[in-house]
Amino acid sequence: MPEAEKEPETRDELAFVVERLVASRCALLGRDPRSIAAVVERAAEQWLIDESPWMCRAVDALAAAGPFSQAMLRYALPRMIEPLVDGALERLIEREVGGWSALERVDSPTLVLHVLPSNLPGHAAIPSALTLLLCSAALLKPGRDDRVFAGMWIESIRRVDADVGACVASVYWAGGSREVEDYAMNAADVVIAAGGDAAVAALRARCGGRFIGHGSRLSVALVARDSLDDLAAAGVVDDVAIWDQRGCLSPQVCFIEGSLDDARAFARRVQAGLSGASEVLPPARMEVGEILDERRFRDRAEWRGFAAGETDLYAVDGPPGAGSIAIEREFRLESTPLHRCLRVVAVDDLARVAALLAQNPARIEAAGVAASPQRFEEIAHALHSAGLGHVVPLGTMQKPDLSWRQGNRPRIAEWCGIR
Amino acid sequence: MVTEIYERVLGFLEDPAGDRFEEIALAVFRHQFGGCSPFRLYCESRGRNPASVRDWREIPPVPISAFKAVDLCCGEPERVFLSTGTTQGIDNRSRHAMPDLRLYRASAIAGMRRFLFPDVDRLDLVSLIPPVAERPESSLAQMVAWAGEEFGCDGMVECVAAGEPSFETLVDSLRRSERDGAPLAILTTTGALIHFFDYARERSLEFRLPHGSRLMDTGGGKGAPRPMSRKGILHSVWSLFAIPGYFAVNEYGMAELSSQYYDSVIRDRFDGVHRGRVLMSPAWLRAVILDPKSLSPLPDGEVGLVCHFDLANAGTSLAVLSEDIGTIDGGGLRLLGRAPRAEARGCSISSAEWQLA
Repeated sequence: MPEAEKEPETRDELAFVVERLVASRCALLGRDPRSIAAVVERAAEQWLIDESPWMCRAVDALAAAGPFSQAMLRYALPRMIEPLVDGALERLIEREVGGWSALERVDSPTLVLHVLPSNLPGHAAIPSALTLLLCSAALLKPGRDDRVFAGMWIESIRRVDADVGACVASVYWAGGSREVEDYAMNAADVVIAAGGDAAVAALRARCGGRFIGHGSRLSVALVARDSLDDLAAAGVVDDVAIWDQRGCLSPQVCFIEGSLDDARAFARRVQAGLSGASEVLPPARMEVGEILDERRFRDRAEWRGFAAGETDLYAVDGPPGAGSIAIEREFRLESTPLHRCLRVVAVDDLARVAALLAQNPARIEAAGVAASPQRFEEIAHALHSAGLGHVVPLGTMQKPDLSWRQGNRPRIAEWCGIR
Repeated sequence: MVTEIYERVLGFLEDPAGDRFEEIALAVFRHQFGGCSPFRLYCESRGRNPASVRDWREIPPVPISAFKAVDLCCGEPERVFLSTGTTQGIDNRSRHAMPDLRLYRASAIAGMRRFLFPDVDRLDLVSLIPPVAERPESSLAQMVAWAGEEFGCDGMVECVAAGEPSFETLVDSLRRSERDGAPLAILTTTGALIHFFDYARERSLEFRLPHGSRLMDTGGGKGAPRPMSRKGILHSVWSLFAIPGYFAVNEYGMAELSSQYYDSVIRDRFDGVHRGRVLMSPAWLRAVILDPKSLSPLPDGEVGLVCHFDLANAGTSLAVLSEDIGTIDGGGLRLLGRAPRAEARGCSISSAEWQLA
């Protein structure tokens, strides 16, 4: 099974990869982009069939290389690929570009460099697919723990169509290789980077051409008074447990409409759900600093409760990262250390949450809402008005399709300057 | 009843001979379990109570973050000290509310006598630490004030005014000591000391203090203009003041404790002990190293979180879990730095906090 390209030690080694990509891209220029979409979709389907050899091998390799368990990878990795099937690519082209025919008039970039974040595996699939759709070549720089997936994904495309597969390469290099990085940044017409704010800002400063950065963001959950039930709690649990909140679509704060007692009752439901989830989806392995951050989160809530003679912490018994729910007495938005740590904030009217989020919409990625249909529409409208682009039912936050505009941006229109 | 346990601890501080640490620690635990409701709730949540705890190491340690959430005080506080808030900001400071200040005073003075001034009754003192009049909430400032009362020939020469160091005042004291041949003790934060190194270098200053002069620095790198290794500090202390390494002591304390650790060098010299520099504590303060993941005790030599058991905290919290990493080695404590925080990962905001309120 192929893996990522050999780690380039010099500028020349990377230049060789880039030149090969650019040359291969010539074969795409005369092709109907619908055929490229079909290739990508076919490759994605190969990953999603039952007992897919690609998926099985990726799960084994990623579990050995990174912090996630096989169970988590089997459950969550398909979600990184599912958005590419069932005609989703065509709908994306229709929505963002105006259809296949309009794509012929687009001035596509020759080479797009994707600097992928290291938080989750599987990040390589969608960016590379969308780049190919524009008849551009894609150079992927995967995260440290995700090198295996990128190489396998590219190989699966090659198996369907060697010409298309030759236009994508995954090249990993450790941070600090300045000569190699500078070459990569300048060889690409567009650089798209996601990751921590500091890392994105540093890359932006070094990029000579077009740069699109996706920095750190967080998501929230909102539960209306009429939906404070097990179903909503199960939605929170699913959205929190998948990938242990490492993705920006996981809620870190859950606003519930009701009293502090209601918040505690809901927290107990989530606690029970996370307890069950930790059996089915074991938490990721944590480093010492992560364990200590989780403990700080717990200590703070627990002692605040002791001071008041009440319970402000609902912790899941089990390994580190099994789950921690803190009751917050102040109406504010504050991130957590991740690892299934959730703040629950009681609010008398969820309309206040939209006003709170409106203070800094650029930092909010998504909201998951549990409410009756009528309230859902009201709340979603208020959140959209506050600047949130992605508002979905609770429990589906971690299943974004291609209509999700990360950071409120169009998926591909911005890459080639179409807005 | 309340004063009885404090008197018992004070008696041990005055005469720590005999193996009474465990017996007193368990008595203090009983007192704190009964006298501090949040602590009792904490112990109960861990399944611990005076009947179940048979060994002082079984007393549940209170994380220092608890001091930010609640006053762990068995009774009305006589005095409240605050941490500097260097790590997590001024609005997130620990509060150490003490019901009986005598415990802190007795411990601090006995610790200084044992580790800083075992060979002298009094000598000239000069301080680069903000005075207690300016920083009444600082436990360090209070300790230095007591040092002036107990060990100063003529109180304490304060070299900080309105929050700013007065290096001219310090230079005057240093020159006077050189001229009169009277040993001088310099008490300073490490940060202020490094500032003074730079000040002296820019002016080509140099001092040859008389034998017996000594220096105590504390506080790690807080406020320092640049990082300096302990070796570098000791080298500069020698070259600038002519104070040898065996008279240069680093103190390690926390706002959440009433007792302090000191480099062993002056005490070892006094006792004729030959060994490397380690942090030593008085008999009423013990350190246990805990596994950062499980919080179970680790054997000597292994690295983990430092947990302090301080009998002088009889009115507040005997067992305090710090966020410092260290090891017990060579009969003393070696500090290796702060507990790590998680590396920021990916696109989901983690501990790099931001808030909307």
